[in-house]
Amino acid sequence: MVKIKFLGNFREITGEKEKEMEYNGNLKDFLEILASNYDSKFKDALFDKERNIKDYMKILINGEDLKSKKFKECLLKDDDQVVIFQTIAGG
Amino acid sequence: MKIAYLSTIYHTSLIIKNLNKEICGEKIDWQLYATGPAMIDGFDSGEIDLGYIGLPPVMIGINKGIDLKCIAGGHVEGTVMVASAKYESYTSKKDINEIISQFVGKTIGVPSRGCIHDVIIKEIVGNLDIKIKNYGWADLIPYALEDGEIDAGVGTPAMAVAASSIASSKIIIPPEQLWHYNPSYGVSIREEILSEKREFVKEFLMVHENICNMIREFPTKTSKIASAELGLENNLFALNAFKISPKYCSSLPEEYINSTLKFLPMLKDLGYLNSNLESKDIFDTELIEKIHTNKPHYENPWNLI
Repeated sequence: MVKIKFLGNFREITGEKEKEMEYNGNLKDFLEILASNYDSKFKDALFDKERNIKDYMKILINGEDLKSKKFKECLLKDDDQVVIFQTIAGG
Repeated sequence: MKIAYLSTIYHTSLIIKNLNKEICGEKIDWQLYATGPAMIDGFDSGEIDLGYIGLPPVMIGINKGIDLKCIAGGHVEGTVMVASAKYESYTSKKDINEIISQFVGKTIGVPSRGCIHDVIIKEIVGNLDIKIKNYGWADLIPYALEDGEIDAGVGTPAMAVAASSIASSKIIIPPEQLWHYNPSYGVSIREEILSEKREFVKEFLMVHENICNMIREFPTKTSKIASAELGLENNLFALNAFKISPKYCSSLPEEYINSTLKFLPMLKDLGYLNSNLESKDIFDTELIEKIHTNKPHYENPWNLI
């Protein structure tokens, strides 16, 4: 199971702090599948009009900061932790 | 031009990004970074030309051999400490040491090693038995507070506003008490770009100077633009963050430079750098002195109070 942790507005949109999901595949497709489980607000918050992750959205995989162009290469496996949040706290 | 920025809502980068597709005919490729130290890695690998960054990481980068110069200021006193209501806050009657002693045996969360917040809190903590836990993204600190993973958090005023709504925290030590005039961010650039693209840099700094003034003069309007750039529903978060430490200016006065140099012994003690950098190794004030000709505005909040 892949473990997902929602922070910020994603907690409000999903009504959940955490979630587990059976998944084998790349991160890009994972995010599409995850978004399809929720209201369209989830997609609107995460993706821009070209279906790219918005500049200020961050996805951490096991604590590692991954750039969106690497999402297709990143393969998720059991026990991986995905954290999704909107960056607002500065550097 | 590849420009690195942080999600810090009072940095002019967010407003410039929102208002300008290009500057001096040059398109800008904006790249979001988590912290100053991460940005230094970006400079090192050639991924970025110019960055919005606190001065300690810049000094660490220069010490590593990266050809960088800080060419403009932006803000001072951008580090604040927060914790839950059960802890006592700083007052003029309480000594900072007394306040920090409340956290003996406890853990304080702070962004990456080598960032300005990390250096400041390590100096304040000194030899006290307080654990410092570093986070790759400051956004994780309010949640670590909420979960009880840490007892206090240190970071930007924006982090403090987020922590107050997520973890019901309050300000324990305000920015001006942690480190007077500390250079929370400035504009730094690779020296090669500074000499090759001087006209662009000049125009960029003029825009930066205008936005610094705009934050102080028209905070409501500016906070709306910055909020839109970060996808926030309204400007309350931005406006509250602007007001915690209303010290915005593009100039590089003596106070800013001297405060930066005061970090040197600490950076050495912490093992972050090993050479004796001087002001001329870190700063190139030529352009900003031509653009910002009047007195510094760091101590003049205008409409922010």
